[in-house]
Amino acid sequence: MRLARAILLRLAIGVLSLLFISFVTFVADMAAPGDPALVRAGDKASLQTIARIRHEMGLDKPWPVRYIDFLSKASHLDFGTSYYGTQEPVGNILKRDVPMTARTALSAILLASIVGILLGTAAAVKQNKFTDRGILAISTLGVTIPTFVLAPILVYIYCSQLNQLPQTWQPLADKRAAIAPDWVYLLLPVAVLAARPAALLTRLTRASMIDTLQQEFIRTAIAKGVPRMRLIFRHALRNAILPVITSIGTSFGFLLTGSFVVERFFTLPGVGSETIEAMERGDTPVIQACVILTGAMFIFVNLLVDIILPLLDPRIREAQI
Amino acid sequence: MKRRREPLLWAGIVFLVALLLFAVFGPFLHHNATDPIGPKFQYPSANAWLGTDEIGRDIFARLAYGARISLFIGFTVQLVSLTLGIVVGAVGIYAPKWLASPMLRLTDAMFAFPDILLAILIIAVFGRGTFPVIVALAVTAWPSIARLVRSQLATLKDREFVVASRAMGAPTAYTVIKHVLPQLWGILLAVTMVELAATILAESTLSFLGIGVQEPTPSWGIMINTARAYMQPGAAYNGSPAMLYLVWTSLILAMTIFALNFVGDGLRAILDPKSSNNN
Repeated sequence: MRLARAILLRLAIGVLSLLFISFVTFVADMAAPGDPALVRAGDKASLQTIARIRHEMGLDKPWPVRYIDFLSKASHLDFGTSYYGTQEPVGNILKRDVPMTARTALSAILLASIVGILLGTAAAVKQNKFTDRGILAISTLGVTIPTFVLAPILVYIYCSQLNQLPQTWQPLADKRAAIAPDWVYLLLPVAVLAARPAALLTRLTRASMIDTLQQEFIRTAIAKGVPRMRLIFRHALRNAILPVITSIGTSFGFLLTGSFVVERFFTLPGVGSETIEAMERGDTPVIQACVILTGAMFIFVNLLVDIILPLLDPRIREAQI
Repeated sequence: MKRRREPLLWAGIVFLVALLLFAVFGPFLHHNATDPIGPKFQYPSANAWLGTDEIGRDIFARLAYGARISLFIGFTVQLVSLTLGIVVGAVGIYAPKWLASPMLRLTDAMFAFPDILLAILIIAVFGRGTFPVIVALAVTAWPSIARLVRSQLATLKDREFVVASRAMGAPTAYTVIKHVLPQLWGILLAVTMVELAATILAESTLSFLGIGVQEPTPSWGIMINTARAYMQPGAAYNGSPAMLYLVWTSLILAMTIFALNFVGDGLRAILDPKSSNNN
């Protein structure tokens, strides 16, 4: 019962954060120079037309009313239509872009967690030995190297091996040109995306594992003759992993920044590249929708982390009210 | 006690001094950063020391000017962020609750908001260019300083010298500025180095994406984005001027980030030997 209440509380906090993001997005739109009605009406519109469009868009209402309007529409994923081109509904644009971003970002965070936790554990078990030094050096490099420096290096290695450029998304746009299932084309982007969070999580797991391995219950377990693998994974890692899982949520924030760069670099049609294109043409509804959805993804992953934690650790389960 | 040597710290300091000199004097040395000096994609030569870029401009001059832009944005953002962070952090501890509590909530809310999204919104409001980048990065940078200052002040609050100062009747503001804040300069310097790396990286990222510094102002991010567009498969690309362009720009950015992190971590290791054992 307590657990259910704790999860409900987390959900409420998630909804509040989403409201905060939507409010900041809404305010940013109001603060932006330029009149959306003028943009939509075009250069040659008469004053009457502009007034009519302003009324249709609801721009003549006071801002709290407009915010509520904005929220109620956004809650059914209705963000209006794009200002430019064919004035496509933003919902359609998102339907096209979100799967790509969700797929790469979520696979990357999963990959980063697995790699980070395994490498960190290996480093901690071999503390101060060669393996540990090596892993530590690589993870320090991984935390500091910029995504858009790592990407060309990996692409270059890939190119010199296969004699072809991987960074175009062309094969997926045109299924007939594809020579491999589409996940193959996503390997490189996901690897680049996962590098930084993986390095962060490696360092954290290592530090946390080293702390845990020095504790007395581990010494007891060794004395009782618990097999080594069981000791590491069942006894030590289970205790050491909690702060690591908390920081998976934070790492996901870094990963989102990375996903803008990676989508741009590999020309993947996702939310990140859509946002940048929308900013280049000043397409407010698209920017708003992309920011809110990316924020929602971030909140979702953090919510997941908050729900997983008490399931893993009875102490947190007990402590939460 | 064995004295710890910090070779990485010194390597970082040497690199940063060189970078500073490069940023200050580099643009005057040879060519300017905006005018073509010859054909595009030339090999390094006596005229163009690092070769020329996609429209024949001197890469050396553009890197130097880019260093100037990055450092200028980095220092400005850190100045704003330190000021805001210290004020908000101190308010969180010393101000009455009606002021401290909302400040704390605001800091937490800013933390929960992914930086890139906030930066995008701010740039959407102000348009693209150097100034919006400074605003966007300053707004996203201060919460971590505020949180650090707050936690440090919380541990200093009840120390004897602070209590003594207040017992002698010193006003709170005087005590904080004269006695408490000077304790923080060391750790703040170390953190600022790491934050400066993050800011320079963020600036390059925004410029790489095309929403940061705008052409013809050179920025390392823009240069990397241009150079990677000329990447090609096949042996002809190996060692070509286009590849060298990508190598120079990536190298100087990566080295700057590394150097700042080395200096920050090295300083922290000296100031607080305990905390850096396991990291």
